[in-house]
Amino acid sequence: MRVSENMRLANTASAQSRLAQRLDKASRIATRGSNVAAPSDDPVAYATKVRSDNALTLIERRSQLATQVSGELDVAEGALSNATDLMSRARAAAVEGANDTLDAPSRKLLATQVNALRDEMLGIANTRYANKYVFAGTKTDTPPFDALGAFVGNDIVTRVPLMNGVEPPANVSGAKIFTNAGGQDILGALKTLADALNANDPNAVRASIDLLDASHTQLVQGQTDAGLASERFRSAIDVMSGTKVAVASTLSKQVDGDPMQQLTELTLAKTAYEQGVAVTRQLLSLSSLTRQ
Amino acid sequence: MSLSGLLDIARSGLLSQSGALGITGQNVTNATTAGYTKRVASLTPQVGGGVTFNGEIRSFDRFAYAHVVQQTGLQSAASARANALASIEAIMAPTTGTIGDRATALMGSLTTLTAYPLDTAVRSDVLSKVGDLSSTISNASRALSEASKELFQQGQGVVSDLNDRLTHIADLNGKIAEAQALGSDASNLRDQRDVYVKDVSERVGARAIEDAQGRVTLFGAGAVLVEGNRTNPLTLDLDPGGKMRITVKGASNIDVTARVDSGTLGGLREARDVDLAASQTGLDAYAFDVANTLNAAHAAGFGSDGVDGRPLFAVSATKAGAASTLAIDPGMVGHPELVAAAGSVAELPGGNSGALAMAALAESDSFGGTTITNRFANLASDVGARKLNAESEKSLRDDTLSLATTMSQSASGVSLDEEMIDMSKYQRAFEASSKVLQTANELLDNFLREI
Repeated sequence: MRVSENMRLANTASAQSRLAQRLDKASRIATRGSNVAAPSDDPVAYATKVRSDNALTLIERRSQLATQVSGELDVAEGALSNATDLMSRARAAAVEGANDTLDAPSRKLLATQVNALRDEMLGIANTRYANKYVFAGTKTDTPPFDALGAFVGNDIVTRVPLMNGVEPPANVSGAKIFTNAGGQDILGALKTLADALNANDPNAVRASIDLLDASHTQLVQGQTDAGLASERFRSAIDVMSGTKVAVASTLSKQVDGDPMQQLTELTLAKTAYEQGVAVTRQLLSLSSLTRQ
Repeated sequence: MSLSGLLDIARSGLLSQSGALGITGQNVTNATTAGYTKRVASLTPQVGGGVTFNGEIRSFDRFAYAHVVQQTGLQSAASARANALASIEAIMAPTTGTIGDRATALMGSLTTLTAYPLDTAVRSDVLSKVGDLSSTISNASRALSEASKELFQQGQGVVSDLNDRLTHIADLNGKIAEAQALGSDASNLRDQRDVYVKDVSERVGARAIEDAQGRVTLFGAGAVLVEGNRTNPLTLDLDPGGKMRITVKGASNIDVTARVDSGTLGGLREARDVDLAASQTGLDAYAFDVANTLNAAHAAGFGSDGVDGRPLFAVSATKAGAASTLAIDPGMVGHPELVAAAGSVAELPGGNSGALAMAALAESDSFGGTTITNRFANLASDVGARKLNAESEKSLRDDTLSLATTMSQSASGVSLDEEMIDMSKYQRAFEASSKVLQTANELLDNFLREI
């Protein structure tokens, strides 16, 4: 085949252009550390990247929420722990007040203490955290118990998504923990005790002990429920953390590629380009005319 | 042979070799001139001695050139389509801030709303993300429309250039036929015309057939574009459906749109009316489905005012044009309290089952049978696959055009090595002829002195 001047120049330009394209691609991949930045880099891998990025974002968001909800449930659990303590102290007052040898002024004094415990219990029932009354159901913007101890919240359970289709309860029911909805009216039981002590009626005081025991059990149950719910969110955080690592690892393998391989390709492309330039220079200097 | 005959032979040699040297010089000078075809000196021996310089012959392989013309059209189409798809891809899937990213951000915000249904900042964030997604989609749609207009304008420029070249070819047809009739050399005119033919093929794909008078009939877009000195120019406008309509103006106008699949015009037409149109349709369908699915979920919930049935997005009634007009519903703008986080009036004010239902859409197949994420991934991957396909086609056409050009150049191109050898050859022959002339002259001198 005859080789014309234009052929030599065109072939040289074409070859050099391909080497430049290879170097450009290798440098772009090495710079961003990913084989896939645009859909045309690899349409299938790009779709995987979109799905994985979305999954990672959702996992991240849900993990944050789970941490926050778990914190709220921990606050509820802590409040209920204090409530059970209060109830134990009330029961101790009841046992003391049930003693037939105790005189009326002493029972009055105990009644004052029990009223103070009831006020504390009311404060606990109206616990607020992160701008939410934690025992109010979905009426989280107002205290669930009024000054008289009447429940003005609701018994609606809120749920927060953790994974696809998994939406565990994110609150504990103030109605079931503190009111007759759970079997015992906690504040009512304390009032009954205080009234019995004020009335200097040991029999009534003794009768209230059963109510206090049942109330204590109800509070412990609420505390346990809050703890379990919180634990469920904490476990989910661990699971999501593992899932996140797995998704990120898959994404890295399929999309990011091997950094060493990328650097190696960059080096090879650079060397090839430099050699191409040298060859082009020699080719362009070759001419029968210049050899004359 | 007489001494005067020897002088004539030497004279013919000097004239022929200098003519051949002139052709070699012309070849060397035009070695890299685009469209130049190597010339060969035509020398024939004279009866009775001597040599005749007949002028120059174009070293031209019409089949190889026809292949170059054809491959030029195909390569140009692939190149134009690949370039256009690069723009479309950048619109549909920029390296940051894609529609998919915005959709994910909205679903994340709805997820947060499940935990903080009463938080005004969270509710405002939901509306902000609705606005972001809407504006990103509508901006992409408008950018696609702009790209479509730009491709059409490019097409008009291509047609204008093309028609200009058709006129040149018709003009050169006349000049070549005239020169040929007069027995003049028309090589330069043919070179010029070949360049124009290739230019036409680059724009629309073409095939040229030369008649006995040296005129070419140029076929392109399934029609005759040039016949003799008559041209049938192309026009480009839009049909009622907004697609490119290409017409050949002749005795009657012929719609050749469906036959324009080569050259830059063919590539632009496919990129605009097939690839870009598919992206626009896909984006419209995406916007329509996303907006209506989320609107339905939102309408089922209740705002803080206890009212349900409100949409999040303002979206057109049909898929066509849904993307460009997509926006946050005007009634929701600046009213975070109207976000329907609650699932019923009973659970107000802090109920979250409405938010829960919307957040659950993040992983549900409610968006045309797949998830909102997959829906975007499919849309972007489709553009990516089209661009990849176009780049592969371009790469293939680059190679085939390069091969065709090599074959054509092998026949018609100037090799400086060859020219150098020819130059030496003709130089030596010229020197030899001079020597013959000198010898004959000396012999004549001697003879005259002897008389």
